Order: sequence, then structure tokens, then C-alpha cells
Amino acid sequence: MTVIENRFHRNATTHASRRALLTPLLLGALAVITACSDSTPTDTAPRAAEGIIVLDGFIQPGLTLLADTGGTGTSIPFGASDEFDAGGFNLRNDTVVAASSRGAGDQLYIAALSSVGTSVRRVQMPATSNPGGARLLVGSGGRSLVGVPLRDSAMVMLVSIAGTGAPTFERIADLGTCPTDVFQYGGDVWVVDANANCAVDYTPTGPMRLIRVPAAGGARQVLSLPALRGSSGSAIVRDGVAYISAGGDADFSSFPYVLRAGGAITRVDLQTGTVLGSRAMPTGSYGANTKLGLDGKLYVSFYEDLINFSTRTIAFEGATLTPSGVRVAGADWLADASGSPVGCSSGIADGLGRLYCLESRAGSATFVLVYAPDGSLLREFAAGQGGVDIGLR
Amino acid sequence: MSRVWWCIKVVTLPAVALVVLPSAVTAQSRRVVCALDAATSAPIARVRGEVLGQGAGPRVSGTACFAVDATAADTIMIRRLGYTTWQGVVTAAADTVFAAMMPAAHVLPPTTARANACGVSRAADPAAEQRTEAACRRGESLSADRARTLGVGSTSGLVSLLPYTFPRGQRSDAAVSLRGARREQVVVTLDGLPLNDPSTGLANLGDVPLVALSGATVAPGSDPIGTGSGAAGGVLALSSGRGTLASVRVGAFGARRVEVASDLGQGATSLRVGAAYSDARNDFAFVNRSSTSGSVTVEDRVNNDAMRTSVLAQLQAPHVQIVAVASHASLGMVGPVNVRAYDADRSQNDRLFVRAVTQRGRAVFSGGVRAFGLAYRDPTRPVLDGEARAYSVDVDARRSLGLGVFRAGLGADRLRATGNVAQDRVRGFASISSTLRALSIDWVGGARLDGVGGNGLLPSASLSAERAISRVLVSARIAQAVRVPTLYDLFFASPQRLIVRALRAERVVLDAEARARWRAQTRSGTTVSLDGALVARTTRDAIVWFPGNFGWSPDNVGTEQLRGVEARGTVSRGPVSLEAWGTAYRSELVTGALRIPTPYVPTRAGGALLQIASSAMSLGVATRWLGPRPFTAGPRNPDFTLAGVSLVDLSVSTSHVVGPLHALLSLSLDNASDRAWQSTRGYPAPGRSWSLALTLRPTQTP
Repeated sequence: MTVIENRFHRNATTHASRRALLTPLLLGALAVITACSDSTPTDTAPRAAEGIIVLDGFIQPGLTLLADTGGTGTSIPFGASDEFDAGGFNLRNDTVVAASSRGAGDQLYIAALSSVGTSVRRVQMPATSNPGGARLLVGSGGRSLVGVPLRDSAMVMLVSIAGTGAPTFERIADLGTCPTDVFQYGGDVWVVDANANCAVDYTPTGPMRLIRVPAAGGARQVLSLPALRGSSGSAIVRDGVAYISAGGDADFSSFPYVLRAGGAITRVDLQTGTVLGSRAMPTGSYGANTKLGLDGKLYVSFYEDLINFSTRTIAFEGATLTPSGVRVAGADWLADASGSPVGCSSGIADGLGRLYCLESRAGSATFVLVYAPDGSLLREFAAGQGGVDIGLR
Repeated sequence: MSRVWWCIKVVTLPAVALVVLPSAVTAQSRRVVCALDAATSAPIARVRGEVLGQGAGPRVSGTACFAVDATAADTIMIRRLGYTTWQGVVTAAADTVFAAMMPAAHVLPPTTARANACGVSRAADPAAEQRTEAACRRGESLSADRARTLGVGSTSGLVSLLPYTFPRGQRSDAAVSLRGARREQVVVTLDGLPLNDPSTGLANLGDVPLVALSGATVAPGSDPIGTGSGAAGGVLALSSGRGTLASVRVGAFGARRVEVASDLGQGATSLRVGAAYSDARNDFAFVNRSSTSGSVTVEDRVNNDAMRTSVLAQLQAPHVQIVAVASHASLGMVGPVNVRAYDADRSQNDRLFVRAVTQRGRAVFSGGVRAFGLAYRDPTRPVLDGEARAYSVDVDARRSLGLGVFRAGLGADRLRATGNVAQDRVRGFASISSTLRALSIDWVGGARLDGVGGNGLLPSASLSAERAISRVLVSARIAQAVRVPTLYDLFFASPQRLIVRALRAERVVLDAEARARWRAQTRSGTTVSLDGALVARTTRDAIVWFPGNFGWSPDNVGTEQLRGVEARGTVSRGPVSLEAWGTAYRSELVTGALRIPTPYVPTRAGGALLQIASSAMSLGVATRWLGPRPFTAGPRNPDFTLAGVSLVDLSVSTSHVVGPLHALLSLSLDNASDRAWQSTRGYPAPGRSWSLALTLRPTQTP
């Protein structure tokens, strides 16, 4: 159909024979650039948010950029709702990446947010490859590098782009059954495999896995994560530890819905490749949308149950995964100053510990509620419509 | 819309009557009576007419026209199952009386459905005025026969020629929006029984073959009394077909269509059977302006084919009338232009519609059964295959009493679908409608009480007033209406079942309309009409489904408001007729701080239809202009708006008598200017396309 797709078609045959050679070379080059780096923010001094980014995933897909105090935002459209369905995005500096699934055209979206203007670029992924997200990696030679796990192809696409030039593509294949996240650490590429039948119905077929693809080539390491089950797993890397979260497994084919396995977070020591421990999400809950706050805590949003689907958020102390903050009596999740639960579909804190909470109301109208560390509501403001994810700059 | 072509046919009716009844008008007191459908202007065969007070029994006519012996001041009564009894007083000047009979099951908003104005009160007018009044005043209707002369071969094509309609579809499906309403707020009826699927609330016009229809009438505005729940935005009333015909059509993109119907009537009983088959590859080229390459490319649609088979049977007997239509469709379920995940997906739809009407004394009883089946197949992911079956049963009775027409009915809906989805609902209603003339004003009012399982009792009402001031007919109407949630709204949202949420019925708290119609006919025979209306509608607790995750199931999300203007003008003289219409709407949902325009409703739109028709040839030019249309359920945003588009369809048809057959050969060129456009975002419509059709009828038709 399109030129890009034809390129993929051709690459499907040429890369098959060159993959064994090119992949180690590519990863070796990455290793030089990214040794001992990771994809987490490096700022350590507490700071307030300079700006807020909200992703509209369904109504008028795109980004809404807001000042810390709200006000009139700037909208950056991505495309029609039938061509974008991402539930999250990845942010680094002034670049946002997100990907749409096979049901919305298998596309990678790259938005450049600069003070002089914004631009959005779409990159076609292989047809029906079913991207599971996108993550900004560290490129070389002034080129941006984006990793896109392709769930139905069991591979990760590495997209390298310089300016407005044509992207180049490299693939890492044979990555389990359903890769859903990718990151770099120690020069190696690490892939979270949901181990689910994503090409069919997303049914988990076993515990999730973390796959290490050595930059220097050689045998891959596959680490089983017994506590994690679900159709999608994601990772946050901090101080050499990967916090891998999974939302759990539920049967939605009949009502009442059945929770087969709850969500959990597993800590993995990336230096040694060993599981440090796991933390289960509250009993009966479903989902584990995990974000790393600028205060160093993990903010995990989830549904309290499969009946009312009320959204809750827990703030975990990163190192020990201990719930923190002002919480609802008898529960782990955060509460406001009156003791009522905070209902964030997605939440993240700034460096001062203030929680930026995304809330969806009637008509999918999206609001950002800012809570102080003591649970008091500092302010709230509209943030477009159809918001599914929030980030701070 | 000028009705020249149809007027010509109607004008020929007395001539036919003169041939059929050579002695009918030889006596001074002998009158010819012709029965017409007030909604479509189609002749009505097998009516029973009598002159009251003569003692003679009723005469059953095998044709639309029959003769009676009557003198001035005699009252003629005409009955026909399925129609409201027509009664009028003969005047000395009238040698031909046109009886515009209102379909009993076809109750439209009062200002649209004033059949009496075409009736006996005008019998004393000159015959020419009678003809235009009876056959031409209802410009919102279009007969299937006239549509064929304009190159139309499908029900959706027929509807697209009607004013104030906004057809929409993604693949080969077609639904319609009226007066800025969402599609599920428009009820499509066949002989008065809704075709809307109880699960989704939508009616797919693509599943109704044109051969099953005699015509269609569009009535924007709420119809709480006649149609009840769901008709918040308006009613598209289809009427079942008549006569014997055979039609063959071929066209671009592999389109083929065959339709046959035969009227096996004998005397007062008629059995009409028919069948239709159509298929098309629909692999048309389209311009992709949103490809990720950043350049404009020309691509072909794939997996966009459609195959449909339909059968129908219509029984018209003195005491019972039955209409049955069954259809099967196999469709390629192509996705949006840049989405390849659905290139192998298939869908099969089965639909059954049966309606029966009978009359006992002054009461009319009707019953109907609808069944709808959907099978979705994804060869690449068979686990996602799904099936759904929806059923509806309706019975109702009506009777005229002193105060007006009383009507009551019961119904039930059932849905079974993959995933152990099992939903059932019972319904019932009672209504009264009445007419009154006071203060030189015609008043029409009614009230209705619906009870729908899980929604309690839902009252609604309508009141209209109309007065003729010189040649201007001024009317006003106010109404309240309801739309109960469909089963889909309540429980079921594919592909996932979401939150089971008790929704309230959405209520039209005010549907108001102020209208003025003017028509004049010059001595040279030119007929001119103008029609303008101010309209407003406010709907509380609008039910809207916002796609998304678990928290975004259908919900009562706010107040929907519409304000607008509708205008239409027609000019006809001799063989030339011209109609133009336009609308300006502001339709939006208000919820909290959000103001969301109703998706796909253009703020301004219009259309025009020019036809030059003689007895042997017709030339047609149909244009339609759609202003910019928002395509998301979000605030107005140019980035999420489809551009305005103008479309032009051309047609030429010629008709000849070949032996015992009347042959109509039509050639049409749709989207003649080859505009790239999309009815629904991501689903391109074909560019320029052609079709050639041959329709044969016996020359001797009722």
C-alpha cells in the first residue's frame, strides 16, 4: 500500500538472512553510547512541574499541553480516533512517543514539543504487527531512537530518526510471545514479554518474562517473573532495579467478571539478573498503571474491583514498595484530606510530592486534580477530553 | 420537490379510469373516485367505496379508480385495510374525486401528516388543483418508481434523494440522520412497524430491497404519538411496494442487481411475491490523504464487497394484510483506510420482518415480528468470532371513538449474543390523538404513555395548530418525546462488555417547530412552492457512548440542543421540475464545560434536484452539498472536521412500451465530478461511478 509498508515487505526477506549479523552490530553501537544509562529522569533536586502533558487516547487523539496551573492548553492532534488508540505515552525532554495497535493502523507517533512550535510525525509499523507502546531510547550520532514492541510479531522495532529525514528500521526478533515494553540498561536491550496470546485474544499463557538481549551478542537471558500475569507488562528502571508491573488477568466474557490473577510489581536487579521480590496489588483489584514520580516514588493506578471499576492510586516507596502518603483508613491507596479515596485513572507526582491526578468525568471530560502531600486539593482544571495518561515536564 | 413525473402518472389515472370504465362518466351523476396514498401519492388498489345513504353495498375496486353514481352533497366513504377510512362530500363541480388516504400505520407528526387537506374539503376545487393538492403537496415523499427514473436502484439511494436527509454509512451499510439527530434517534418504519434493531437502535437501509417499497416519506421532528420511543429526531417511513416488475442493474466496481416482483392478485385479493439479489466488489480507488508516507496516494479498497439476497411476500385481502421481507447479507468488513487488521473479517446479517394487519368492525389490529442475526468472523483470530440474535414482537390495536383515535400495544425485545449476553425487555403503550377545528385553526393533538421494562412509565405528547392565510399555510407544533436506551446502551458494547449501568431514557423536553408553506400556480401552469421552518429541540439526559475503557460505557451525559432553519422551494412547469432545500443546524451536546457538536451533522447543508421528464424520457441532476462535519464526540476542532463537499449525480432514462411491457432504461453517473470524500471518517466513498438499469413492467397495472 504505502511506500513504508513496501519497505517492510522487502525487509521481511532481507532481514531474515542478515538479522544474526546486524543485531549484534547495532546493539554494540548502542552499548558504546548508552553504557550504564537508563531511560529514567536523572534530575535529583526536588522541583515542581513546569508543564503538564495529557494524552487524549480516544475522542480527539493527541496531546494537551498545560501550564502547571492549568489554563488554556495547547492541543496537538495525532489523528482520527480510528487511527490512534494508545493508552499511554513516553516522554523524554521535549519528545513524546506513543503507538497505536493493529486495530488503529500499527503506527508510531512522535511529537516534538519545542518552544518554537510542535510537530507530529507518524511512522508506519508493519501491518498487523500490533505495537504495544513506544519508548524513547538513547540514539547515536544525533539520531533519535525509539523502541516499539510489536506484540503480534514477537519482535521489537528500533526506529532511528534524524530530523525530518527518513527513518531507518532494525528489528530484534524472537522475543517471546508478546513483547510489551523495551528499555536499555548497561548497554543491553531488555524486553518485557507478557507471555500472552496477544495475536488472538490477549489471554496470558504463563508468567511474564524479562528478556535480556546482550549488546555484544551471544545467548539471551530469559528471566521468569512468576508473580506477574496479564496482557501487558511495563518497566520502570531506577538505580539499577527494574520495577516491572502487570495488571493481572480477568475474564470479561461473561458477567460478573472473573479475576483470575491480580496485578503485581516485581523488582529485578538488572546487574545480576535476579528477582528481588514482588508486591501484589490489593486483593480483588485489577490493573497496575505505574509511573515514576519526580519525587522518586512509584505511583500505581488500578481498578479497585471488577464491579464498579473505581480507580485508585497507591504511592509506593521505590526501594521497598511500601505504600506511603495519606491513605484511606484500612487501605493502601491514597486519600484526600477528608479521607476519601483519590480517583486517578493515572497519577504522577512532581518533585515536591504533589500528586497530579487524571480524572475522567461525564462525557469523558478530563480534569487534572493537584493534591498536596497531605491530601488537600490544591487546584483542579480541565484538560481536554478522553485523557488516558499524564506526564510532567 | 416538484412532482411532475408522478403528477403525470396521477393525471393519467382518470384517463385510465375512462378506459377501464368506459361508461363511468357518461351520466351526469357518475363520478370517478381515485384513491391515493397520502404519504407517497401512490395509487391504492382494491379499495372498497360506497355512497352513504344509497343503500347499495360497497364496491370493491381492482384498480385505484372506480366509478360511483352520486349527486352533489352525497357522502362517499372509502375503506382500505391499512388506511384510515376516507370520507367526503361530493360537490357539483367534481367529476373526479381524489381520495388521499392516510396509511393507518403511518402516523407522522401532525404538521407533516395532514391528509385531510387533500381530501374532501377540496373536492369542489377545479380538478387541476385537486391533482396537485393530492399528488404534489407532499414533497417530502418520493416513490420508488420515480427514483428508478432518476437512476436509483437501492433504498439508500432513494432516501438520499429526499430533502432533509443525511444518509451515512461506513461500508455498504446505510443509516440516516434527520434534523441533526444521531442515527439512533431516527426511526425507520416499514408500513408503520419500526425496522430499528432493538439491540443497537439503528436501522440498516442496505438490508431493505427497493423492490419491496413503493416509496418513502421523511418527516423530521419528533413523532411521539405515532412511532413512540426513538423517534426523537424524526421518522423515515417506508411503504411496501406494489405491482409487477423485473429489474436488472449493472454498474461500476462489479455491481450487479436483479429484482423481480409479481402481483398475483385476483379481484379483491392480491398476493405479491418478489426477490432481489445484489452483489458488488466495491474495490474502488480512493485518495488517501492521511497515509503515513506524508504523500497523497491512490489506493484500492479491499474486502469491501457486499452480497445481499432478499425475498418478500405481500398479501392484500379484504380482511387481512401481510407484509414479509427476509434478507441475508454477506459483507466484507474492511476497516479504516490505514488499518489492515480487518482485511479478512467478514460479517453475515440475516433479517426477517413480518407484519400483519386486520380489521374487525371499527378496530384495526396489527402485529409484527422482527428478527435480526449477526455473525462476525475473523479468520485470523477465530476466537474473536461473535454472533448476536435480536428479536422483537409487537401487537397493537386502534379504534376511533368520539374523542379521537385510541391506540394501545404491547411488545417485547430479546437479545442473545456471544459471551452469555442475554437481555429481555417488555414494552407497552397507550395513546390518543384527536383533531379539532376551532378559531379557523386546525388543531391536532395527542398524548401517549409508554411503559418499557426498567424505565417505568414515560409520557409524551404533541400538539399542532395550522391555519391557512390566503395561500400561506402557517403551522406550529410542540411535542415531547422519549428514547429509551437500547439493549446495547444498557449492557452491551462490542467487543467488550462494559459496566452494567442503569440509564435513564433520554427525553425530548421540547421539540418545537414554526413553519410556513406557500404555493401558487400561475395560469401558465407553473407551480411554485416555498416552505420554511424554524426548529428547536432540547433533549435531557442524552445517551451517548464514548468509546474507551471501562469507565466510558454509554451514559446520560447531558443536554442536547438543536436550533436551526429548514427551507425548501420547488418550481415546476410542464416537463421541468426543480427542487432545492437547505438546512442550517446547530446541534450540540452540553455536558459540564463541554460543548460537543453532534458528529457528522453539518452546520449547513443543502441539495437540489432537477428533472426534465416527458412520457418517454427523463433527465435528472441531483446535487447535494454538505458543509464541514465534525467526526468525533469532542469540541469543535478543525483538526477533527471533515471538509465540506459537493456531489453531483446525473441520470437519463427512457421508457417505451414493448409489446405488453413497459420498459424503463436508465443510465446514471454518480459523483460525476469525481470528488474524493468520506461519509464517515476513514471510510472513503466511491468516486465517479456508473450504473445501467432496465426495469420492465406489464403495461396493464392496477
